[in-house]
Amino acid sequence: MKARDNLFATHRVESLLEFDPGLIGSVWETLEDRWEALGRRACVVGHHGSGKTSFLNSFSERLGEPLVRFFFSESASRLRSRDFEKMESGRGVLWIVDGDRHLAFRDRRLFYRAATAAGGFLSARHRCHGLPPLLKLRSDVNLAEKLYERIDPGDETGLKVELPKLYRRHRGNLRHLWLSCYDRAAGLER
Amino acid sequence: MSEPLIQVEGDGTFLPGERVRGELSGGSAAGEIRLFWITKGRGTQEVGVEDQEAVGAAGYFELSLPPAPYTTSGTLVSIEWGLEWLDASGEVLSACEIIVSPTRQVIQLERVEPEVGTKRRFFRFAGSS
Repeated sequence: MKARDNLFATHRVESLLEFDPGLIGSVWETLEDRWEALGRRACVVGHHGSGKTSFLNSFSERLGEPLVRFFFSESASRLRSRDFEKMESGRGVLWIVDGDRHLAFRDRRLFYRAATAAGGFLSARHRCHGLPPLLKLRSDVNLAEKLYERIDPGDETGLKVELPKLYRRHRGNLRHLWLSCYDRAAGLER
Repeated sequence: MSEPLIQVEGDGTFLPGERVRGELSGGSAAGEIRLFWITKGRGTQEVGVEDQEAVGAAGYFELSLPPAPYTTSGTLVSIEWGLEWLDASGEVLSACEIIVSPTRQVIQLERVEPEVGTKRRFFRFAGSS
């Protein structure tokens, strides 16, 4: 199967699986109220591939206010010049941050000091580390099955039956699960 | 008024570096027309806008193609070329796909099978080669 026809192509999965609070038994209004009640400083907590980044994308779009976005990871654990520019230009506006706990100790201190001037701070983390949680995300096989229905409603690829096994293999990491489905649909993995 | 439509001169296939000419019909003569490529597949989607121009009253456009990338189709990734007509608010009014390739056909990427016997070795025991 060619990439453009693969139902599990990343762009397609991302557009179909925008964060839906209904899947975790909540509604946007509840999350927005909680965000304000927490003083606009909070984190979203969950394991790898549990939907943290999807939540950040959807939530920031829903808030519809000026923001700056930061991405850090194991391989991007130092502040770069464009991060410093954003830290400077982001005074008074919302900061949406992915993976700030990956920052090296000194950079993290600089970052948090600058963040005190932000108009809001929402971070995706594996653990709270002192920030109050706005949301705790945890995937399970039922959620994976519901999401699968959105990607391949007619089970065209025939992967539905294998989903529980693949879910366990990827230890609940939904991002890896969909990539595995991509590979299987493409005939790259058995 | 009929549906906004992008009409490209020729059969929709182009050589790299050629100019893409055409006409817009069915919408108000406003907004912008963009020439872009987009990746689809296993990896994160990438997009490149290679040329763009404001839509004039006559509705004609002429955009330039760069030397690369080519329209390709593979198991892991496809690269597609297209034109899109956006209104003043950035909404897409119309879009169409074109092919950009030295052969004027989609380049098919062959699947590369991993070589047999190339497993990585993390340990080597003393005396072994």
